[in-house]
Formats: sequence, structure tokens, C-alpha cells
Amino acid sequence: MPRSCLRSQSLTPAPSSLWSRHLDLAFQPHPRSLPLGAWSLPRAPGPWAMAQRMRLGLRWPEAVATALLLGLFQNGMGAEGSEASCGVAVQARVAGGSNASPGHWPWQVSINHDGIHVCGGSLVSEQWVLSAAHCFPRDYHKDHYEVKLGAHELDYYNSQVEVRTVAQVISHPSYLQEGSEGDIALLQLSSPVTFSRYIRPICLPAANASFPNGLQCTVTGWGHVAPSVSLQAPRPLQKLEVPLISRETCNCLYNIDAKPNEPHVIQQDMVCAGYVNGGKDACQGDSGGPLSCPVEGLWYLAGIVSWGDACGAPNRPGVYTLTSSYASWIHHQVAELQPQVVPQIQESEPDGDLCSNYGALNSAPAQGWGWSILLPLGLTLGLLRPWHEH
Amino acid sequence: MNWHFPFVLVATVTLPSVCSQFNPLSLEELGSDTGIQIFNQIVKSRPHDNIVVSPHGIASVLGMLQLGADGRTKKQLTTVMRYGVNGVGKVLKKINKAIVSKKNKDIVTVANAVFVKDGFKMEVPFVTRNRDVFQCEVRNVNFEDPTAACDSVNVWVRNETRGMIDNLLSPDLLDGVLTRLVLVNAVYFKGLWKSRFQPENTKKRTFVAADGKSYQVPMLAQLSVFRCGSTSTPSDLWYNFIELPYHGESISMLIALPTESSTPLSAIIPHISTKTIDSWMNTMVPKRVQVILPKFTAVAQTDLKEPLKVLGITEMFDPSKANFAKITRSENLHVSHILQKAKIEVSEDGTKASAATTAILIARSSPPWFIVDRPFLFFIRHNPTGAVLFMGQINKP
Repeated sequence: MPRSCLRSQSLTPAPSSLWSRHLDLAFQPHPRSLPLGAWSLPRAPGPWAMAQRMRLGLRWPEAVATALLLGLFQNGMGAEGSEASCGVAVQARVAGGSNASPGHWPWQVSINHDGIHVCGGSLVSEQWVLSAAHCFPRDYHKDHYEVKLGAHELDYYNSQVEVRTVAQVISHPSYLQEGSEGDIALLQLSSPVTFSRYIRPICLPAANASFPNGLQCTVTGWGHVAPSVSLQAPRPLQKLEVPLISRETCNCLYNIDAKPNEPHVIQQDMVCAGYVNGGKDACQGDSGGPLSCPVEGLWYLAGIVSWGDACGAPNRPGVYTLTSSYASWIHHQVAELQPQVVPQIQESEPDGDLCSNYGALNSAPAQGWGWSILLPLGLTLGLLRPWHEH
Repeated sequence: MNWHFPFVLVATVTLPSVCSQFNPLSLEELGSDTGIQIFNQIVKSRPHDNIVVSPHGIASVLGMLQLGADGRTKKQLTTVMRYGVNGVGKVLKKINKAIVSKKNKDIVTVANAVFVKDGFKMEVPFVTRNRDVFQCEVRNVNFEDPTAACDSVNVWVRNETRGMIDNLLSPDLLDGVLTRLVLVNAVYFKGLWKSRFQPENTKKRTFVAADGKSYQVPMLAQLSVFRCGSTSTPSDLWYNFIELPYHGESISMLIALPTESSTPLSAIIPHISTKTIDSWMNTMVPKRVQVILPKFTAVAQTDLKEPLKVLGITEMFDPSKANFAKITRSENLHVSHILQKAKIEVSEDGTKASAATTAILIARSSPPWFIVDRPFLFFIRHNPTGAVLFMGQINKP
């Protein structure tokens, strides 16, 4: 789960928290998820960047009205069939808090083993849930699992909650042990669910999907709020915004202060998200749950909570299974599951400075290096400014 | 010639934290079993106290006494212990050496001594057999000055237990005229966890004590792979157990915890013997588990006289019946006191940050929790021999 430390968000204000103060009711994704670097740059603005600017041009009351109309439209159409049948949620937001709002993450499910929450998962159709392979050890029988959908506070039952047993678990065959490739599993529910405001699927990204580094995504779950500290009753769903970190940079971070006999390798099918300084991260009990990324008004399942060295440790961002690398496997296993093409919103900017800065900070930079460090900093500050203004 | 010279029998036990298990050498298990039976008797009269005893220490002291006993006194001892020290001396010696072996890495010190009144004449075989089997040393002391005698015994005990056990004897236990000898067994154990608890994970959590009240106590927390399991008593009361190994691999702490908080420890304790512990060891499976355990120190001084009498060891306490002819033929001796003082400390200290295979500890599924937040039993077991170095019940950390 998102760590409790995220409650101290004010210490490290992210652009997202500034946004959330203004938003009352709107369709997700918020424009807040604008990645650092998306603004600017002497490249022709992609469609996503343009959309952002248009939205920014709207006054808030108008934006809210638009969102409401869309919401009604979606509900009226029903979920099936339409292009936007996934990745949409009505979202009433609470500023600065770590508790999610009910209905905000309607694809989030809780997976129980013998009645105990062990993992999260993401609803991807009426009858299929995507989760992590390590949530289903070989010696555990599927009959011991249950999937809870539409839940907000795990300790309270409400009428929106649906519970299904598991008809089938398909774990990826290449998953061998914690930290290995293929930490992905498909769960077939015993019977389909009816979508509602609280139960809706997230979009599966197609194989060629590319989410830019730094994109603000959201991880949600009911896991521990700190190492060895479980979420307290009534266990409301937690959310945490985390920027994407490239695999290469993540490998570089994991090599800082690495123990030689405990190598951690970010494999090809993994992506990271989180903070170099630590403090905010997913944790035990969040596995299998979604890393939801917003692109042009829809939420995509960019990653599946998989592993991490402790939780929230410096230079140890959370590691997620990169869903898009399993798009064809998913479709092959369950033909009805159609990964969606994700609009290419922008080129990904290199994020190597996240790791090389570390080296620079630890060995007083020579003068010649000063610019290369200052430059990204200046850029970042410049990018933040528009957010403050709105 | 109705002189009866009491001698104080003292078993001292110290332990900073651990428990033990079964072994291929069933002899030591028999010995520890006697200690476990005595523990059962003690907790019956003190169900709400913290109790710590050393079954291995009790077996050693009774074994030392057995070497000096004769007649019915000896018969009672061998009946309860289920072995004669003379017949199995070689094996016992081997076990006693294995327990203190440097191979264990965990520091175990077992110190046995007989403090004898100056000029008191002992039978030679008693002295040599004790030295041989129990590595027992003989020291002279002047009991006519009880305070000084008491001091010298206590200083010896303190040294042997690295300062953990203090003030074992009080001068009023010694009779300047009658006391002939004091028999002491001290066990010191200092174990470092194989998998250290991170101090930053230690937090105050609620412990519901045997009196039903809630206490906020510091608790250690660790996510790691531990062997654990569960079983039930013949009356179908379930309890869980877990093994927390110390770094030398040969000694472990075992914790037993009733599954339902409504099940009192007293319902579980009669079910426990070295045989039960053996079955735990054979059924436990390694699991990724989140352990929450109170950080605590427990000290308990116990008079073993009444529990031993209940088990059928009566004559050695009776001035008119006790027969210790093999200690000395010149005087009639009986046992006036048999005391044991034990101390255990459970803390974060260990040798490494986590289990050997950390690769399996990075996944973020929610592990099962083993939360020791109510009265529990612990055992510190020397696994190669099955000796139970310490066992206890903790009703309030």
C-alpha cells in the first residue's frame, strides 16, 4: 500500500497535489498527470500536450460541467462495446489525503486467500481480473481464493460490493520466484459482474504502448502503510501518485548500495515508479494491484504491483510488471481481452539524471559538471510554474 | 545420630532469548521432559505470572543429586527421570559437551558447582563422576559465616552467567551450623537472531495480558521466512507455533500461541512435552511470514521443591528419610532448598538484516501474520540434542 508517509506530502509538494486542490468532480484522468518534460520542449506538441493546454484554458466551472456531461453519457451508454468502456471513473477528489474516494478506482479488486486479503488485482472485463503471479503460489488451490469487487473499506460490507470465487487462475509460465520475469496472472471470476459506478474495468495497454518517464500514475491498494505496519481498520483503499521511472534508471538506482549477494535486477518486462528519496511506495499487500496511468482521458493499466526492496527505501522505487509486454499473452489466453492502443502522447525524455545525480551529489561535482546538473533543475522548476498558476 | 545437614541446591539459569527443539538423542529429551513436567506443576500454582525455567538445568541438578543418592531416594529420582545417570554417563557427557560446543556460535555456558563446607569429607566417586559427566567443580566455602558464603556463591554465579543472574542466594537460606553443601547449576545463553529485527520496525503495540488488560509494549517486527505450523490438543484446542533460529543454526526459539485468544495457556501446557516439540519440528514448514513479537526481559526465581514433590521426588527433602550416602557416609544429608533463577532477554539483536534468501522477500503480496500479542509459551532448544535450555510462559511482557 501506499505508505503512510505519503500523508506528509506537504513536505515534498508534487504538482499533482496542487491540482487536486482545485478539482471537485471531474472525469479522470486529470490533466495533473502531465509529466515533467511534457511541456516545453522544442518538439512539436503531441496530441496529448495540446489537449492539456486546451483544458488549461477552460475555467474550472466549465471543466466540471463538461465532466459531468461525459459521465452521464458514459453511464447511459453502458459499458460494453464502446471504445471508452474501460479506464473511466467518476472521481470525487480529496485534496492531499491518502485515502482514496469510493468509486475512484473501480477496477481495483481485493483478492482474499482463506478470507484474508493477500493481494490486489485489476478488473479488465466482466469476468477477468489481472493480478500478479506470485499471489498464487503453486501449492495454493484456487478454491481458497475470493475476489472482492467494488470495495472501498475492506472492513465494511456495503451493497456495492460483489464477491466472486475464482474459476481459473492462469499464471504466466515464466514466473519462477520473487523478482523473476512473468509476475502476471489472469483470474477468471466464477460468474461475470455487472459494471456499476464502483465496478468498472481499466484499459489494457497494447504491446506498443509507451508511457513516458515521469508520467504521474497512481498506485492503489490495501497493503501495509509501512514495513510491518498493516493498514488500520476500516482499511480504506489507499492511493498514491508515483512518477514512472525507466527500467534503465531503475536498475541504476537498485545498484546504489546494493548487496552483492542479493542482486535485484529490473527485468525487461518490468517498469518502476516512485521516488528516489523514498518515503512513498507500494508495500506488502499491494501486489497484483494496478498502477493506473492516465492518457487522454482514459486510465490504462501500465503496471502491476510486483516487488521492491523493503518499502519506500531511498533509491528503491517500486517495481511493477509492465502490462504492455504481456498484451499478446493476455489476448492469446483470453481472446475477449483486447488491449487498447495507447495514444502516443509524447516521446519519453531520458530520466538518467535521477540516478546520476546521486553520484554527483556524493562526489562534489567539478565545475564543468555544474551545468549539466543545473540544467535539469532549471527545467523542472520551469515546468512546475504553469501548475502554480492554475 | 540424628544430624541432618541440609544442603541448598541451586540451579541458576540465564537466557537472553531462545528456545530449543528435539533431537536424535532421546536421553536428553527425557531429561528436558522432567523439567517440562516441573514447569507444568509450577504454572498450575502461578497461572498468571511470568515463569522461566531451564528444563536442561533441572535435569542436570537432578542428575548430580542422583550420583550422590542411594536407596529409595535414588529410586525416586531415577523413576521420575527415567534414567540412571551411572548407566548413561558417557552419553550425558557427550550431550553436555555438545550443548556448550563452540560450534553453536550462540553462547551457551553451563556451569555446575558444589560448594562444600570447609573440611567436609565427600566420597571420591561422587566428586569424580560429577566432574566427568557434568563438568562440575568443587569449591570450599565457610558456611559458618552465611553472609560471606552467600556472597562467594553469588559472585561465582554472577561470573558464570556474565552478570545476568545476581543475588541467587540470600544469607537466610544458609544455616551456619547445618549447611554442608550448596549445589549450583547455572545456564547462560546469549543468542543473536539469525535474522535480525530492524530496530526501526520496533513499535509499541497492544498486548492483552492474562489479566485481560491491554498494555502498550514495544514489539519487534520482521517480514521473513520462518518455519511455522499449527496443531491441536487432544481436546481440540488449536495453537500455532513458529521457530525463530539463532545465528549458529543449532539453537532456536520456539513460540507457541493459542489460535483463539479465548484459549488460556493453561489449556495448552499439559499437552506439551519433548515429544510434542519433536512433532512441531517435524511438521513445521518454511513460510514467508510477518512476525510481531514483544521485546521483553523476564526474570523468575522458582523453588522447585514443591513441584518435585508432586512428581514423586519426596524423600530427598525429608530429614528422616533422605539418603545421600554416596555423597558422604559420615553425616546424614537432605536437600533443604532447590532454587532456580532464570532470566531471558528478547531483543532485536541478530547477525544479519534478513534471512539468507532475501530474494524471496521482495514480493508485495500480503504475508500471513504471526502476532504474539497475548500470553504465549516459549522454548529455547538446542536442536542437535533436543535439550530444552529454557522454557517459559509470558503473561505480560
